[in-house]
Amino acid sequence: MYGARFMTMIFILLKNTCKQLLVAVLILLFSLSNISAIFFGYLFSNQENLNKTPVAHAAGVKTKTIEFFVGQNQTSGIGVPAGTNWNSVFMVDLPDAITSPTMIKSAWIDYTFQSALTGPPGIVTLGLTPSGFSETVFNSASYQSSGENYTIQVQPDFTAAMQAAMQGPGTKSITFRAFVAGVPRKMENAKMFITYDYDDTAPTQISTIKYRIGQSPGNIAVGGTGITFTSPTMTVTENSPVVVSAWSEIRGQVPATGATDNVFAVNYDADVSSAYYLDNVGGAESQAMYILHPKNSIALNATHTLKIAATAGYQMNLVSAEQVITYKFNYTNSTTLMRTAEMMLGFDGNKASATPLNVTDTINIPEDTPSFKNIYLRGTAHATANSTFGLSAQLGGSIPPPTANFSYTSGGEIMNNFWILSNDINNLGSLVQGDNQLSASFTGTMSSRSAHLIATYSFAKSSLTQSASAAFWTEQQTSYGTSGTPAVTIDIAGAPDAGSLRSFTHANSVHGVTQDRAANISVSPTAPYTHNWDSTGEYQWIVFFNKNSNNEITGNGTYTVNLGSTGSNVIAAVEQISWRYGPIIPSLTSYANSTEAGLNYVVSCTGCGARIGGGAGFRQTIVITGTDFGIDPGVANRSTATNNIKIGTHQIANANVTAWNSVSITIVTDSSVAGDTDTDWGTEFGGVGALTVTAGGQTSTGVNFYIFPQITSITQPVGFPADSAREFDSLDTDGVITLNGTRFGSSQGSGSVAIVGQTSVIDSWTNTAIQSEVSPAIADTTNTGSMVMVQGTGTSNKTHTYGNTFRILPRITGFTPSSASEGGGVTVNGNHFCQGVSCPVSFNANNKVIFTNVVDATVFTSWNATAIVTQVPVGAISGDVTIISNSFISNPFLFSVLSNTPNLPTGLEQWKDALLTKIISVGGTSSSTPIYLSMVVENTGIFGGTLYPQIEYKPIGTAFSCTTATPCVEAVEGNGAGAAPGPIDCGISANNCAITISPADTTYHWQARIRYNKLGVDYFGPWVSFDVNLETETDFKIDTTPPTISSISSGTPGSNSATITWDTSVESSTSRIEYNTSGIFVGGYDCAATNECTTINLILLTSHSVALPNLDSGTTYYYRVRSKDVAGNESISGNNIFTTSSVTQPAKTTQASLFGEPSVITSATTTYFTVLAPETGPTIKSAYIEVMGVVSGGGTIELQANNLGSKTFTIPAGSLTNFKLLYKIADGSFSPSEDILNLNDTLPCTNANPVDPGIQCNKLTIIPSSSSVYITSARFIMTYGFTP
Amino acid sequence: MNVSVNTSSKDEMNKKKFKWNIPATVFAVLFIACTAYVINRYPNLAQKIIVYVGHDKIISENILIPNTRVIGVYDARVPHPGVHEVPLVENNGEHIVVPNAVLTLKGSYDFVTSEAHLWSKDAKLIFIRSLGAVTLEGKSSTWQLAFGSALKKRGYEIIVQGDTIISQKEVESDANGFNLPDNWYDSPDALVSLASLPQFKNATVSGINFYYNTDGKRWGYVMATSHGGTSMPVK
Repeated sequence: MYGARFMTMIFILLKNTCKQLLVAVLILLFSLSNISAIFFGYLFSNQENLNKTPVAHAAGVKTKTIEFFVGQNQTSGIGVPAGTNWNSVFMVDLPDAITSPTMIKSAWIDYTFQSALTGPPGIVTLGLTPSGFSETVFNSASYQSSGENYTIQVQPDFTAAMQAAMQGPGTKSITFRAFVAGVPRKMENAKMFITYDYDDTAPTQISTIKYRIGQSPGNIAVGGTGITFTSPTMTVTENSPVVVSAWSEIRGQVPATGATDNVFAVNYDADVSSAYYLDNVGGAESQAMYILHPKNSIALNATHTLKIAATAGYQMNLVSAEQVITYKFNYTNSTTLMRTAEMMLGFDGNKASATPLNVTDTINIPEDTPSFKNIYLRGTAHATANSTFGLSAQLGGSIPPPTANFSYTSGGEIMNNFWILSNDINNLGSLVQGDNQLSASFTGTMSSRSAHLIATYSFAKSSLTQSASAAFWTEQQTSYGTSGTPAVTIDIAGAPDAGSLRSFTHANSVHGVTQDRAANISVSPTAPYTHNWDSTGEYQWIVFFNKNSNNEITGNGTYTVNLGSTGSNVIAAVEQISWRYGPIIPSLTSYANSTEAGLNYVVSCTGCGARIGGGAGFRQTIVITGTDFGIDPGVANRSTATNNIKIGTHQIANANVTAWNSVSITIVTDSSVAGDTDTDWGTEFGGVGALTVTAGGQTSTGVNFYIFPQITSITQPVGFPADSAREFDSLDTDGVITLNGTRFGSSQGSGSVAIVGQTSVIDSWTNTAIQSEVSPAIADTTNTGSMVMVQGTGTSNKTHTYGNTFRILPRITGFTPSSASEGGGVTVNGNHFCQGVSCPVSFNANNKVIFTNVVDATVFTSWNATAIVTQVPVGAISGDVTIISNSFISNPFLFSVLSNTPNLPTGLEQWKDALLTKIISVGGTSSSTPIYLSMVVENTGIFGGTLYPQIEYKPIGTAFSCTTATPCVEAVEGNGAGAAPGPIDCGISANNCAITISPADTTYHWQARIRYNKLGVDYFGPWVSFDVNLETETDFKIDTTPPTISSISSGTPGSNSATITWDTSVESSTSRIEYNTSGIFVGGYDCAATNECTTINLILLTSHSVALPNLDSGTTYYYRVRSKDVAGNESISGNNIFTTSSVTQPAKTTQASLFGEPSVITSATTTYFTVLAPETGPTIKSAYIEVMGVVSGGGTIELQANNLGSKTFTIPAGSLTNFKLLYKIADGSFSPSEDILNLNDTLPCTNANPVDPGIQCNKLTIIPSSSSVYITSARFIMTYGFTP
Repeated sequence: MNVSVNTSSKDEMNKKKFKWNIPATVFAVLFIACTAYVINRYPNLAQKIIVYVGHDKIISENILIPNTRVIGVYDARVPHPGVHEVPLVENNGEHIVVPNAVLTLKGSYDFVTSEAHLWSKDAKLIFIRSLGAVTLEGKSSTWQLAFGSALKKRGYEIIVQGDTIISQKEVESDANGFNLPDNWYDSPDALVSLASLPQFKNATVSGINFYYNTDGKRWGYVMATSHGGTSMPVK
């Protein structure tokens, strides 16, 4: 309808430019086009929605029925001639209709006329012509007529016509045309019912309400003053009501007792009365008086009088009047609303029964603060004779006896279709909100009766629950006497409360046979209910109601209505529905996370929800779908108490609800939007049923919605590339990162962080920050991966995976060896060394090892994820080493670059022999060349290469020429000692690295150093002098010349001694004499292989003197002198001779008893003894021991003195044998010695008794072979000479 | 900067402040002009000069323009430390003002894109890097933008200062540029995201880069903060 309004505006605009024709065509096209209507309707409806204030109850589309007055024919006389049109123009305005081609659900005309007696049966033709449309025509079937007058009501369906006409807003002018062929008619009138869907929040709305004006208690005489009803106050509580259509419906019965037409005068208040004519030519049954007396200008909220008088004809019976008011009002500014509820209480189909119709029903008044303006009862029935009727009701279960009677006294004429509007109510004014039990009683003799409650009341607009009613056209039959099962489609917008539907069927027909008849009516599946009534055979207008007591209509749908009545004229039926609109509960069926589809809702999901917070870059959009969300409450009202979206108890702020319509709401989760800070979200994390939508104050059932954590950023160590860190090492912070984000949980609890697949150690955990350590367990070959965190305490342990963007940078953990020198092989150890697709196979700008940040390694040996094998480049110094892999830089790691300069040599030695066994002492002399110099070579910590010993020697006093760490021609080098680092001792001959030199005889000093050659490069160590001697000090001397012996003299030998003298005047030397009496010498160098030498006197002398004692007197001795210089050069003189002087020496023999043992000797027995020879120079000539004893059975006896060899004696076997054994100790000249014989117990005294050492220094041991040896005695006998 | 308030008493206060802000502002403008002259005349005199005018802390910078020869994708992955640390959350209403900071990061891209396309029609962004201080509005006085071209197999560096391109040249590049995400959020949003977290309440920011993460094949911001480089994805 707004589309049409828009076109009208365009029309006005263009009209001024004289283009009316074109515009008219356009309007016509648009008017005919539903599409244009939809388009512009949508456009304008949206615009209108923006200006709407949300209602307290759920906004939505509802259904109602509005009645419009069409017309009342006042033609007098014979009425409207047969075949003549009666036209009536009326206005229809549906200001609150929704814009939809099918918004009109049902529309029909109640056309009623009295068929005059003067014509044959006719055909009813009705037309409806909305302005701008063609006429829609209804042709009824002919009806039976016997020439009697009677009232006919026809209800043609004009739904389609109204659907076409009512598109677009505004009041529509509609022309109604009635044409009846073959019979004139009187008292014709029409009203229109329109059932349509409306927007119950439309700013202007329309309503139809009813008031009871009055009911006559009995007959009203003709020609009198008639009856004047005073209405109750016709209250309308809405804001700015404007009456669109108002009229009084006047019903009564006129006995057909004569042939005079009835004339009725009707007027409101002081209005001029209107005259209405009813043909009455007499008959057995009364005529129905049915007048629609219009009063569009009726004042509201006031009482009125309605005067009804029969000015001609016959009396009126049971005259009643109801006021119908259809009015528009300002809904927006209204605080209360009005409605008239028409509820059927009960019915029966009895024929001419006097049994009261007693019913009890429950009436529900759902609205808040209802205020009842008018309550009355409506009873309908048919009567066969004069009767008195009562109709009463009251709250409670007790049937109220009627207190007021309505009498019909017309001479016994049958009265069909009479109505009674009773106000005989006890306490119905006390109806309350909610269920009210109500009892009613309809008394009198009548048939096919029904009773209704009509209540007009106001209520609070804010009521969440409201009742409603509508009527749906069922059928207008077109054939006489037919039965049918027409379908009626019930189509109520919105969602009626379950079980709240009530319905009843309202049907009418004309029955015209001369016998009692019945009609069937019901809604399937209930079996048709038979309504019976009495008839005199005259045609009469029959109206009957059928309460669908079994709740046959349960909701929207198409139902079958059973209509059956033999002998009836056209029958029509309308279904009247009432129900309750409960608060519209929004239904949230699903949601989709359009930012992260993985969090979409599925039934009972636990992985559904959204992430919130973090700013514009992390905003997630959730589209919530469902029904009954109502119209958009407006951008400023999407977060109110009555319209909101909540997650748990958190209410989404206005700014975050970006779209709202009845089936879809869109929210964004970003908490940084002003007015919805992160704090506002609290610590909620959603849960089961957490997401709800509240619309119009009604809250949906929640669906699962979880707040997931969201990592919004990562803080990595200072200076690191974005999205990177190293494996954790406690020595630094390179492996510590902070996850920033939202909804991590207030503490770790069961939360966790896994980086590149490995769980991290957590240092700290808050709701927005987690400091974690990158696990060292990450595979060294895996460099990139995701970061997965699981919510901690207070959460549902939801996860967030932070992309596959995190990189583990290379980390150096050490070197093998831990230090190395230039050129030295080194393995860089660590992890994640291969940052590219594969490990590098050579060094380049993006893949290299850098020493001390400036020198790149050049030798590429191998590279894998944990080790890079290379060499220390030339120029490298100790400092940090880094690697670059695929442009990613490792941590710096300190590396010591060792110097290749070899150590100082140590262990310098000088040797005389090649086997390096004869050391030349410091300053020592070698008597031969070559000599050998050695040292220990070493290059600590350096591996590979070769160590060489070098020396330089110079005569003392001559300075070394090699002083710098450079090659030196004076240096003498030995063989390569071996590979570094050493140490290698060249003083070990097997190492074959001692330096051989053959210097001339003189004295020398020397220095040494180490040459280290690695990969062809020489590194020289510093020089160090031997023994750190000064160059003036002798390190070694070379002397290959033996001393010269001269002046050999034996002087004057004594009788027992001689002294030999000689000179070695050139050089000092040792002194030694080799002598014997044979003159044949066999002693080699240094008296080797002889015992004929005196002990060497090592004192180096140039004048030598050696005494020879204990010589034999008178004996010629031969001798040669020997002298060795310091170098060991030995000179041996030739043979010399001297003879000792001859002297007579005394001699004596001495003996001593050694043994006096009388007993048996059974084992080795030792005796100790002293040998005394106190004289000067004793010379033993003979010494022996004599042992005497007895032995039985022979045997052996072994004797041993001192350390001389033992001697075993064998004694022949015999019973007893005396023996005497001589054991020789010495024979000839003999010099006493400890081993042979100790004279005078001189020290050492090795043969003494251990028990008494040093007392007796000789011993004799006797070892018998049997136990039968008796030693009788033993004695020592010695003969010796001496010097007197 | 005056903080918006709702109460009438604060309105009165603001009116009084306004009276004083006029001469203060005139003084500030003159001071800044003189400062700018000094900086231009003696470029080595200082890297920055800070002037306080009311709650505004006005920073004049002397930006060192890099002599770029090679553009590398990796370069912008490491946040530029910047020369001035700006509190992420205003303290006592103190507001950092950099007079020449008129473009946001994205604004700088929009500003120079046509120039890049003039250089090569297939030019694509490699990175954007702030060279000066970054205000809470996500603006910097100087932006360095690097583009790449598959056709030229070269890079193109544009440096924009204020609203003027002060340098543009073709250089070597290890990348041809990358497609940008749709509706990528700008530098102010990135800063707001950090500032909304309590752990950054007392943090400062000194630089911001828009970089391409070749591992995850996505763009991101990385900001030099007092807590360390903080990276943030741009989807």
